[in-house]
Amino acid sequence: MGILDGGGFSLPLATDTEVVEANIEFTESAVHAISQSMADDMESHVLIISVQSGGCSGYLYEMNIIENPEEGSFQTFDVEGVKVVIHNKDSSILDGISVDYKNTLMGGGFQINNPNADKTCGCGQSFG
Amino acid sequence: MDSFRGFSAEVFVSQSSISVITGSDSAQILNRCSTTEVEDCVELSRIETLYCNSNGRIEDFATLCFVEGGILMIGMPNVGDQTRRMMHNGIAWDEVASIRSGENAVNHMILFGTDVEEIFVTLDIEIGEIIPNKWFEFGNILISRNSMCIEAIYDVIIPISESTGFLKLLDDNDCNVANRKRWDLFRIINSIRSKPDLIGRIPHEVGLEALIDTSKGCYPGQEIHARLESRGKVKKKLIKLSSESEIPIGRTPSSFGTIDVTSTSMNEEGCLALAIAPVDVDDIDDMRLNFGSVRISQINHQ
Repeated sequence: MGILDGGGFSLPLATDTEVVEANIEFTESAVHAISQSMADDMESHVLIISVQSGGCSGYLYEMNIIENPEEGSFQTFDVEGVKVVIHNKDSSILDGISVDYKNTLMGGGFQINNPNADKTCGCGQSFG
Repeated sequence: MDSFRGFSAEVFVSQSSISVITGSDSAQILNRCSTTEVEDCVELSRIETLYCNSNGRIEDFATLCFVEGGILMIGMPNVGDQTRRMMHNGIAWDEVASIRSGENAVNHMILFGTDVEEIFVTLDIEIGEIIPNKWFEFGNILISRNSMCIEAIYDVIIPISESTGFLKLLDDNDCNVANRKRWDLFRIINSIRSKPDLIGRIPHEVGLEALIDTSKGCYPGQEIHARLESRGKVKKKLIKLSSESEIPIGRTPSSFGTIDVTSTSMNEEGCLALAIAPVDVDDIDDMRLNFGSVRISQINHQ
């Protein structure tokens, strides 16, 4: 028996994650950029916007193209034919965000304006 | 070893927060918020790290133990829930990790005093096997030397079910259980920082800049720490005070600016304290404060 095999560990951590029906907006330039990024993968893949700890301000945005998830724990948004999803666990923190795309050489790319964020890192990827 | 005078061998059962993080992404999740690199650590590694808020101020000071494929985290007392919640909220949707409280499962004990190493000998533990930055397994007990302190102080992690027997074994070998007052006296004599000295402070103010790794990438508070390092404008530092009269906890004015007394301990020779003071007190040995005269000792941190 090892030290982690003994009794008394409380499992799992009691943390309620608030799930809300999220509302997400995309600017015209963001829609265009998402469509271009997805190209021929629109049927089989989705764009997922998610949140994880880290960055200078506490949380980081992540945007990835993944295979269409089959689980029922996602919220799906149809953005002019492209499926964008968020996980329910991120719904309260991403509710109300506006996704923009800036086509500039310096500091360009997707940018997220989040009304739930008290502060945002200079690079725009981290918020708290 | 003047700082150990009067302490032969004692054990303090700390009220540290204990958390256990398991799962294939556990180190990655910890690493994103830690001020030091905590990924790719081998079994039984020991690492000290800080968790700060976005203003760069300390929220938890943790000692990590990589064991049995998981991570045991010994944090400051009464902040475990907050640290666990912060980590839990930051697990990405596709990451595998479980964060549990271990406060009802294991105890954190601190062994200290001049004769502590003799106790290990009587327990048939080769002192040479307890090497820096590693945990040593003794049955279900984990033992490690605290490398943040100049003096030989040992951390012990032990299942609660075995704590009573271990304490009895120590007692049989003349290692007494120290209460909070006794431990505070020892730690202040030896300038060992505890929760009241650390919480809400910038690491550089309390001599923990060694736990800042600005090259590891972003973590909460990194912008503030990087700016402090590049501009070198730390305005406060941790000092030790001694006085014949009682030193009250809290803020007190001085000719150099406010002095914030964070820990105190009375003994037969007077009162000892740790305090956060303006860096200008570097140049003086004593001063008069509104409760009496104090002698100032500078602290050389490990």
